Amino acid sequence: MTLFEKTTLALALVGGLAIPLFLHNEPYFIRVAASVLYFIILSSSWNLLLGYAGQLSFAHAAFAGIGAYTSGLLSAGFLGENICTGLIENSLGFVSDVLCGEGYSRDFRYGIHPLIGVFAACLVATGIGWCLGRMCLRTRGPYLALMTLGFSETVRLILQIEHDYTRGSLGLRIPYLWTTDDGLPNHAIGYFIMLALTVLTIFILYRLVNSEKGLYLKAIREDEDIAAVMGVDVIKWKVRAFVISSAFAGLAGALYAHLFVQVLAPQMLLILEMGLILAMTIVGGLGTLTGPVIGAILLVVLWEFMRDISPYAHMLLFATLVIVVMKFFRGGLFGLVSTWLKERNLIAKAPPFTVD
Amino acid sequence: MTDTEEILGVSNRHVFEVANGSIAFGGNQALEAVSFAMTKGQLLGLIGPNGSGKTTLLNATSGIYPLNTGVINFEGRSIEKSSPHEIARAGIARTFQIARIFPRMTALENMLAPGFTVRDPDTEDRTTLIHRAKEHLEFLDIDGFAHEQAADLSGGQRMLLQFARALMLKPRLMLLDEPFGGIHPLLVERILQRISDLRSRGIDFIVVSHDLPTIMGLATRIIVLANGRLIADGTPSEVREDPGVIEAYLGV
Ligand SMILES: Nc1ncnc2c1ncn2[C@@H]1O[C@H](COP(=O)(O)OP(=O)(O)OP(=O)(O)O)[C@@H](O)[C@H]1O
Ligand SMILES: [Mg+2]
Repeated sequence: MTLFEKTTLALALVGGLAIPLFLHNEPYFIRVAASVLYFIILSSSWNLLLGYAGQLSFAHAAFAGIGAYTSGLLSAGFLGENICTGLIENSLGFVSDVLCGEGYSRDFRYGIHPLIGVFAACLVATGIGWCLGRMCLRTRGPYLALMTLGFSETVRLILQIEHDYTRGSLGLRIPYLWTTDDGLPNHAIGYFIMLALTVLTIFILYRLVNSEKGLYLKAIREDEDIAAVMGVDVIKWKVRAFVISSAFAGLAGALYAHLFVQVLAPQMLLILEMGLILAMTIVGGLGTLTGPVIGAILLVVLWEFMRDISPYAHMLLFATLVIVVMKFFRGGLFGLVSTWLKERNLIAKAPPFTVD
Repeated sequence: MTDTEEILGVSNRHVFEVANGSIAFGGNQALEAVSFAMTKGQLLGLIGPNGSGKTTLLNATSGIYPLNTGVINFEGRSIEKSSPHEIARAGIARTFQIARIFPRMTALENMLAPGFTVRDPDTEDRTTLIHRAKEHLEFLDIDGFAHEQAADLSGGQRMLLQFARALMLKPRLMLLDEPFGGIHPLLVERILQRISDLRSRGIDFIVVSHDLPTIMGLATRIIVLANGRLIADGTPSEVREDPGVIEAYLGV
C-alpha cells in the first residue's frame, strides 16, 4: 500500500470516528453513516474476490442475507424458540441462561442471544461459502457468475416462500443487540461497533493482500494456468478467498441487522443489492483497498440525495457510472486520482515488495 | 529393473522419462506413443516442424494437458497424474513460446509469486527471497523494471522475465519453449551463459527451438518430433545426418 493510500484510509478513519461527535443528536445521519460502513465492509470483501483474485461472484449480498437471517432466525424466530424451549424443558438451565436471550427483551423471550446469533451467522456463512466455493470454483470464466447468481436467487426465494419460518416478505422482526434504557436501539454504540468491524475488515484484508497470499490471488487473477505452473494451488486459494469474503459478508449482514435493521426482508438478497456492492467497488476502484471505501461513501451519499426523486433513480445513475468507469478509467476514482498525483510527482510510487 | 518397470519401459536410472505418451485433441493426434529418457547432465534439444507436438509435450510434462495414455517419470516418481502446481513444486519449471507473464503485477511480484510457493521458511525469509529475485532480474538486464507493471515490458523483456521467473522455483529440470525468440543477440549470449551456469549446478534442460544452429551447438542430445511421433533421437551430428529427419524437417 502506498503512503498516499495509507493517508487516505487514515483520514477516512478519523472522519469515521468524528462523525458521531457531531451527529449524535441526528439519528438519521448516524444511520446513513452506519450504512456507509456496512457497504464498505461488503464492497471491500467483494473486492478481494473480483479485484484481487479475479473471480466474479454475484452471491455476496446473498451471504450478507444468509448472515442476517441465520442470526435473525436464531434470536427471534422459530429456530431459536425451539432450541431454547428445548433447553429449558430439559432443565439445562445453565446452558440456556448463557445461550438464550430470556429476559433479554420481552418480545423475544425464547430466542438465542443475538451476539451468539451473530457468531453463528459468521460460521454459517463461512460453511456455506466453503461448500459453494468448492462446487463453483473448479470452473472458469462466466460459470462462477452464473452459478452464484442462481444460488443467490434460490436463497432469496427460499426465504420468501418459507413464510412459516421467515415471515416471508412481511419481514422478520429481530431483537436489537444494544438498546438504550427506553428499549430503543442505541445507534451511537451500534455505529462504533460497525466502525470497529470496518477497521478490522480492512486491516485483515491489508495484511492478506500484502502477503504472499495476495501475490497468489493476483497471479490467479492474471492467468490461472500460469499461476498453477508457477506452483500456486489455484483452487485452494480461490476457495480460501471465497470463504474469507463470505465470512465478512455474513458477519456484516448479521451485525448490521441487529444494530440498525429492525425487520429483515428477503429483499436484502435482491440482485439490486448486489448491484450496489458491484457499483461501489468498481466506481471506487477495483483491486485497491481504498477504492471500495471511497466508492461506498460516495454512492451511499448520492443515494441519500436521490431518495426523493424515485426509489430506483440511484440505480440508474450507478449503472451509468459503472459503464463510464469500465469504459474510460478502469482504475475507478481512486485509480484516477492516484495516477493524476503520480504524473505530477506529488506522490511516490511505493510498491509493497521492497527491501528497506 | 522390476517387472512392472520393464513392462512400462520406465526406470529410476533416468531423471526424466516419457513412456508411450499420447494425447489427442479431438481427432487430432498431437502426441503418439512418444518415448524417451534423459539422464542427469544432459541438455535435450527438442525440434520438429510447426505443429509437431513440441509444445504439447511440454504442456503434458507440466500438467496443463495430462496425457491420455502413457507415463511421465521425474526423479523416479510418476507425475503424469499430478496437477501443475505439484509438478512445479516437485522441481520442474518452464517458460512459454509466447511469453506469458502476469501483466498487472510488477516484474518483482511476477518473480515472488513462484518464489513464495517453494520457499523454505527455515532458510529463507522475505528479504532473501527479494534479493534472489533481484539478482536474477539484474543478470538478465531487466532489474530496472522491478517495480514497473509487467504489462509495460516489451516482447523480448517478457521472454527474459519468464525465464527469470521460472528460476524462482529452484527447479531441477527446466523446460524452455523457444527461449531465444525475439531476444537481442547479446542477451541470447547471457541466457546461454546462464544455462551453462545452471547446468554446472546440476540443473537439466529440455529446450525447444527452431533456431537450429543454436540448439545444435547447445544440446548434448536432440530428439525430433514430426506429426506427434518421435522420429529421431541422438547426438546433434547423428540427427543432422538422419535421412528421416532431413525429409521431415531439415530438408524443407
Ligand atoms: N489446446 C489445444 N487444443 C486443440 N489442439 C491443440 C491444442 N494444443 C495443440 N493442439 C494441436 O496439437 C498439435 C501440436 O501442437 P503444438 O503446439 O504442440 O506444436 P509445436 O510443435 O509446438 O509447434 P510450433 O513449432 O508451431 O510451436 C497441433 O496440430 C495443434 O493444432
Ligand atoms: Mg510450440
